Amino acid sequence: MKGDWEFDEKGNSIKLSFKELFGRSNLLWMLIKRDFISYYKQTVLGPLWILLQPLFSSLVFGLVFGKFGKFGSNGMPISQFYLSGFILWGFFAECITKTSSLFRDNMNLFGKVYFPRIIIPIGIIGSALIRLFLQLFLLIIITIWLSLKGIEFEWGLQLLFIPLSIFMMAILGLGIGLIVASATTRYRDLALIINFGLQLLLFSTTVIYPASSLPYPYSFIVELNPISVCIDLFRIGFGAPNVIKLSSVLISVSFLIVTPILGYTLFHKVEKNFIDTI
Amino acid sequence: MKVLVAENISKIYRKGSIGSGSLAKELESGIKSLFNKKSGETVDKNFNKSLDQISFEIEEGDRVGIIGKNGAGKSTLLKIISRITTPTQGKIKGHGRVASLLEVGTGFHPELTGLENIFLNGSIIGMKNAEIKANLDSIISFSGVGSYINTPVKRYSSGMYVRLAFSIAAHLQSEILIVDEVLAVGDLEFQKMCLDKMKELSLSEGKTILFVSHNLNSVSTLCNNSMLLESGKLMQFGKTEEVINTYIQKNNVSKPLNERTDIRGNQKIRLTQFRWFTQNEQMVVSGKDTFLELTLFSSLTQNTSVEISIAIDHQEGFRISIINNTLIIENCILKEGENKITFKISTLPLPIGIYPCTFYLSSSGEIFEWIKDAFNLEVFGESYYPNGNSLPKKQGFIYLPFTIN
Repeated sequence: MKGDWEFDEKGNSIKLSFKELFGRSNLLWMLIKRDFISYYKQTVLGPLWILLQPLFSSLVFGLVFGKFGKFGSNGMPISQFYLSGFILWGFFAECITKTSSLFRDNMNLFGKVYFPRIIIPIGIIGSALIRLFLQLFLLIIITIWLSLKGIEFEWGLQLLFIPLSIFMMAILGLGIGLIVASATTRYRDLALIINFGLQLLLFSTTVIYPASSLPYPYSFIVELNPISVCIDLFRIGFGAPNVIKLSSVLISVSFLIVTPILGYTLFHKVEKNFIDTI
Repeated sequence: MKVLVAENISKIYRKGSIGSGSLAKELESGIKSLFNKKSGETVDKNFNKSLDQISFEIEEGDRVGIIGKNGAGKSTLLKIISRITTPTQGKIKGHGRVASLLEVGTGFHPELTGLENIFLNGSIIGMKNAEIKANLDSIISFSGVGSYINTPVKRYSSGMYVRLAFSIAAHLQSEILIVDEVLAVGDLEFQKMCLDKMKELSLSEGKTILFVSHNLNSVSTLCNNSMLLESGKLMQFGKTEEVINTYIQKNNVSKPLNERTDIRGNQKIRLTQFRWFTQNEQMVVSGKDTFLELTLFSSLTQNTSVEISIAIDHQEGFRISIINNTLIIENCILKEGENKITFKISTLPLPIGIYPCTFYLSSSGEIFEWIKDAFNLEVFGESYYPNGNSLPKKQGFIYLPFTIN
């Protein structure tokens, strides 16, 4: 008999997974919707939290590093500098934390019903993107307000860097998240490291200070970090001067290629029978 | 037309802890496996074959029951067919969509309303949005949830929850439906409704159904064919009646009494036959009055007053209780030749399971027979409480009769 589908010890072929994925877009939407509804149900401020989180972070770090620490802000207004940094960082951090625990969070679902598993991480990125867009709206309002106050802002082609940097961040978040997720099914330690690691990582990116404010070897490390590149690119979209070096671009591009491929390969290897080992 | 074909599927689990999580152990097992490959040794004693070379073909519209003891591999088989995990060896081929209902309400979110959950759960089990919308009224009316449809499901009773979940699954337009003991929950009326619905789906729409249950009653009501699994092997695949008969025969006796060599006592009086039964049905179900009929053969010429004791053990090894005629000061006097004695256990308080029984027969210090694990009491279904609810899994090994004032 030749069946519509077949599978053996190797699990589902990658081709089949993607074919099935396209038939399940409604599941993707339902998962995103579930995430939103369940997240903000029974909270007083509801979805307002999406805007408050980056605002508070920007306020605290802007005061400590920008105002008291005098780290500077690459010629951008401080409010814009920190808010843009934290919005994109928040997106990245959400992608990583949620993706990395996806096997544990969806253990029950994975154990009881089949669907192309990759929908889950895509859904995570999707709902993080929606939050990001809401926050972006806030950033645009602040930018308009600043330009009304007389700070020059050019609405030109550099705006294209905004979607580009978001896209890069999404790919990095997905790729690294999948690597960590697959590895945590074997080594639980990684789940513990991830939150802590993100905190440390924050301090080695340009989210909270421009690389130019650091002495030489340190500024170099911060610049090479692909996350810094995304964030700097994002800021260029909002009118900051270009501070990105060629070497950093090369490193980012190689990260953008390697992490998603490695992440998906590991994920595909783990998804087929992780339920036996959990 | 064949809709599902399994070719030699095996599933091997590693015993003990999997993925030790420490790097040193990983390295150690890595090196070990290197050497194992060299010596050509593939099957280790640390591995457990949960499924062993299973092959079968299922025709379109068949309703196939899967029965077997705990640990026979039923759930593993369903998991493989529904693609939750992969077989270690072998291949599965199929035609059409497979919907598995290994649990009711998979992915239900307690905070979401019934209506929202219909869409969520529907899309998880593989329905298209248009399909859900088209069937919405039918889903709601079949579930009987009615006006609660806009209430978060966390406020539902467990019965409502299950009914809604089953109702969604029943409307899925899949060619193959896989159901695992879902019907153990919900009241009797609802269980009957589910069985009827599944039968209807199979007959009218040609839907193929695979159904795992401990409840042989349900299996025999629903399924035309059945397969019997025993420690990972497919023992029999054929007409449900025949398969169930094999199963009952196999499990009622651990070893025929006349072949046993470990019987202690002088055997002047012997146990020759026993039979567990209930009032109307043949299968023993918790909550029903259960009878044990013993046939005892006495070779003594005079009438003998005896003590008959049957100890009921839990499979995990401890003794649950005994039934003994001297406990209730009932005289059992056996005449020469064949005697039939019937014990009655009112509203059997034991959940589904297999209970080894030890038989002891004596008279004023003289032991006639003492047979350890002489036979099993097997409980096939549960309906202890009037509403048909059963004890949650791992929440005890005995039913207590209770009321609330």
